[in-house]
Amino acid sequence: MPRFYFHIYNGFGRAPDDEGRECDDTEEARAIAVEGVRSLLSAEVLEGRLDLRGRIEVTGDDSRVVIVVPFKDALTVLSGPLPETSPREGSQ
Amino acid sequence: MKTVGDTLAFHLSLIGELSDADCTILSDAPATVRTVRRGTDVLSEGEIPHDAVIVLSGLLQRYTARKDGTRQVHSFYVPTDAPSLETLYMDYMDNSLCAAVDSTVGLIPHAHLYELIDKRPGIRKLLWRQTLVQAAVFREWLMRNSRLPAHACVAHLFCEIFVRSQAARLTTDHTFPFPITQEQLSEAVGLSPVHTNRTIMLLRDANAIEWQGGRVSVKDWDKLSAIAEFDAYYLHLRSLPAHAVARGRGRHPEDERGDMRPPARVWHRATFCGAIEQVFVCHLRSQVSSFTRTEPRHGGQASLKVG
Repeated sequence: MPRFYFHIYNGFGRAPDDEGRECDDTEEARAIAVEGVRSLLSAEVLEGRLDLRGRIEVTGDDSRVVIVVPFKDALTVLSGPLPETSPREGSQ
Repeated sequence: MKTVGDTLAFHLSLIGELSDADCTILSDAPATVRTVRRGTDVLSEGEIPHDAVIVLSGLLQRYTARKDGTRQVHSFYVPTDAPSLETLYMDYMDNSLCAAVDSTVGLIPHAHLYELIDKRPGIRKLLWRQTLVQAAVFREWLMRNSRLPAHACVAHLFCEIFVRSQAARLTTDHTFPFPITQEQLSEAVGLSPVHTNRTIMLLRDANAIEWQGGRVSVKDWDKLSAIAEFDAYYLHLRSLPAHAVARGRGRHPEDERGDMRPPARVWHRATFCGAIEQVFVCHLRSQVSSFTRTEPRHGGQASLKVG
């Protein structure tokens, strides 16, 4: 199985991954990167801030970047006013 | 040569008084030794154990798996630990015990331990106590994983394994063996592997720890334990190193043995110096430790940015 390395670039600098992780393919590597971004951001949200400017770069054994996951692509962000909704059935 | 029973006697003596006669009787306990490859279960969920497991080398872990195959690791066991004594009185394993790395375990038949429990009140008391201490450790793991932010959570785990390794005499120069991968660690702290990697990087950058070649070095105990809000009280070790108790309660009356305190950064660097400097370092060290002892433990001096 190929080994992939997940390097984080965010507001606090760069966190290189020197251990890596074996994955079936780049799809699994992408899923791991997305899960990682969500996990990192969730901790940040608990502290009351959210910085979506970072990214995870996934490299292979030859150090070539194979996938880039920008933080903002790892989740759906909705903001602005809620759409008008009709009252739920059964509510008063 | 040390027997498996000797190892169990040593383990029990860390949490209570064991008479010489009880030590001798344990020493003669029948046992077999088994090697276990990394990732292999020693005891699997649903299994009915017939032997008590004693870790002789390597590292064991217990885990519960979800349907999707992801796992929560809820304990690590270093050499000399006895991970499954509660199975003496449980009918089956409700979780799995596996080798986190290639390991060696000793197995003492339950039948033999039942005999000792009947005949030796000292051994009975400590076997009972050991399983209660395990419960205390699980409570702390619950607190750690549900209440502490990522960096404190990982720091807390390092603190625990360090203090337990120190008690088991596995440390050298404030370094303990921790031969697992960051991915395995992530299963214990409930973070994604990527997040775990980032968190370890933060602790490294803070110069609190170094983790290399399967060994973790505590670079600055005061900082690491402050980040973790760590207090080794819950481990119920008979002679807890003075540095490990933050709240000062629960100190065993006999616990005024030598200073096992890991380095504050100020004199850690100096320990690499030559002989003349050593004399100065000792002087400095006594000053540092007498100073830090009078300081409140939770000085709040260690803070870390999360990112």
